[in-house]
Amino acid sequence: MIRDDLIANITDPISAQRASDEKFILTSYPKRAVKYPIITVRNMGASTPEKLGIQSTLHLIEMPIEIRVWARNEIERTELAQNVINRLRSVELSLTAAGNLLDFTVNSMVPVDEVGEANVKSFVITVGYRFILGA
Amino acid sequence: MSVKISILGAENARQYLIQQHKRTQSAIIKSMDQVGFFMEGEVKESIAGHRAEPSSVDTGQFLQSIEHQVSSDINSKEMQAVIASNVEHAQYLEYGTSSIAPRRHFQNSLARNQRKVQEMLANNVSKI
Repeated sequence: MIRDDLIANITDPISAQRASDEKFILTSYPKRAVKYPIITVRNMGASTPEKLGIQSTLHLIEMPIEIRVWARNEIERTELAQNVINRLRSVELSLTAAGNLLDFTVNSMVPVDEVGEANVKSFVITVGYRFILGA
Repeated sequence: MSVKISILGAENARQYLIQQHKRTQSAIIKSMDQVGFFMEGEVKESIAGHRAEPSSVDTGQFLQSIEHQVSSDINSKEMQAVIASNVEHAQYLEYGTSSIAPRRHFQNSLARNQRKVQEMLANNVSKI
């Protein structure tokens, strides 16, 4: 759902140069050569489930999601990261209604700058949602 | 007509609370140090390949570089135990790059032990 929303709403800076079988937003780290910039959206699993009451069958789980912006330079990296966060922040309530994803937070944004020929600049953004299992 | 109210032992109560405060602070610092040592060990075990992640040991530099530090300002609203490495390639191993997969030694160690760390802290503070 998050990936689909980003595909529909984040502008690909090099859409004209990308082939039809190449993607801008992926769900796993690329295993073959890609054209940067790309964005990867990965579900990091669920953690710390809490029962919502002794006689309740509902569980509240934390769902961290890693969104990594891979770019050719720092400006592009920062712009794309800002676009992603602004988009997710602005659709927080509609994602809650559509997918029961609650309490959006940006947990961290870590820059990782590769050196050498690759020279890819990336931002590892970890966002969190809460989800009520059984609701 | 007048009513006189006396509170007996107020000064004793005040001194007791001051002492309890000091004991609580001391227990929290000790507890955070214990958690720091524990998590440092967990990250090292992960780097050594004894957990779910693949081993990241070659020369041993990364493994040896893992240290923990507890923030010393007991009066701040947050106390932190930081487990970190000062090796430059630590970030590439942790987060991966365009050519290597992430190893997530720190993040996975935290995720696996979050509940245990909370219990350790709660147990230590409850013994005061």
